[in-house]
Parts: sequence; C-alpha cells; structure tokens
Amino acid sequence: MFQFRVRFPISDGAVVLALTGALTSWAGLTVQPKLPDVMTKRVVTVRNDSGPQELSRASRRYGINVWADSSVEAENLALDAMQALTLLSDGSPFLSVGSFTGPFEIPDSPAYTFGNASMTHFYFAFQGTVKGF
Amino acid sequence: MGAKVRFETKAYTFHAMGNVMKSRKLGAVLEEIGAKVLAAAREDPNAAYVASLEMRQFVSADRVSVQIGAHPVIGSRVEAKRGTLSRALGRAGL
Repeated sequence: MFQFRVRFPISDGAVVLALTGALTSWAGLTVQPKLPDVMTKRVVTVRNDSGPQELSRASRRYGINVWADSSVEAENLALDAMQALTLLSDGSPFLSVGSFTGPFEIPDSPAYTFGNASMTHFYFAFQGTVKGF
Repeated sequence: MGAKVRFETKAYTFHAMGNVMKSRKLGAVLEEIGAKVLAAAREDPNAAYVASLEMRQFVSADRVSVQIGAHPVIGSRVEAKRGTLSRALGRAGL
C-alpha cells in the first residue's frame, strides 16, 4: 500500500536570518521570534501562524511586528523588512512568498518605551509556501 | 489577510462562469467556510474582541466575497499580538 510520507522543514529561522541579514543598516536592531525582555532602539518579532498542508506543500502565514522610536522609522523599517522578505523564495525552505498585508500602525496601550521615548508599532503579515521532503 | 477558495462548476462559458461567481449559491458556500473561520476566531481569550467579530457578504459586479473582521482598533491589536484570524484561516484549511 502506498504511503505518502512527508516531513516539513522549520522556516522561522530562515525568516529571522533573512531579516537580520537585510536590515544591517538599522543600528540597534533586535530580530527574534519573541519580544526581548528589554526593548532596544528597534525591534522586529517574527510570529509563525502556520497554515494548512497539501501533499508536499505547506502554507506558512507569518505576522511581523516592528517597533522603532519614531513613527517614520517604524514604517520605513517595516517596509524594508517587507522588501527583504520578498527575496525569501529561493527554495530553502520557501518556494514562494506573497499575500503581503500592511504595514499598518498598531496603537499599543501602554506604549513600549526605549529610553524616555515611546515606541511606534507597525505590523504586517505575509504568506509563504514551503516544500516537504 | 485574504484566502482564495477553489470550487468545481459545470459552467463552461465566460458568461455562465460570471453568473456562478456572483451567485447566491456560491455566497452560501463561502458563508459555510467563513462560519468555520469565525468559530475558530471566537476562541480568542479577549471577550471584547470576540464580541466585535462579524461576518459580512459582499456582492460586487463580478463576484461574491465574504469578509470576517473585528472593530478596527481592537481587531488590529489582537491580530498583531496573536494572529487570531490568520490562525483561524489555517484551522479552516485555507
């Protein structure tokens, strides 16, 4: 009897790595899956919301939260992050990325702070497809 | 975030396909799928968010669509924090 066995790869590391590598011009940036205990000048978090799988392909939805110490910087950082993620579809492990939504501002209550300044929060989401093996 | 739905039809002309794309029958199919997404989203722990969730059906000149959303501020906060609707889409197989 034919059995279709497939194992899907972890993809969070690829997203964090792509963002860390592409956003080197942003000083004081922390990129990780969860919020750091102490906020740095700029913070990007990567949340995997997963998705359905079909044969050897699996959908992965991601939510990316971006904080910076000014509104313009937060939006620009989010847009740079989106641009970096469009280049993810090199087959390891993402076959494609798309369906970008945002970025849009999220009113935090209370706002996170860096030093004495309130941080501005932007959010965007995207969807990728990974291949199992 | 949106999700596309695949369906089979016996329509074989552009005109017939256009009628299917904006038909009440297809709207009912979409609402059935949307109900699964809505049920999954209603498991969010934020009661105010859950109370504001609603599903609406839209029929444009060329197609029918279903939208599930919450009130703007609380909806965006919850989506940024937990990705509730995004995960609900996945749980509904979309």
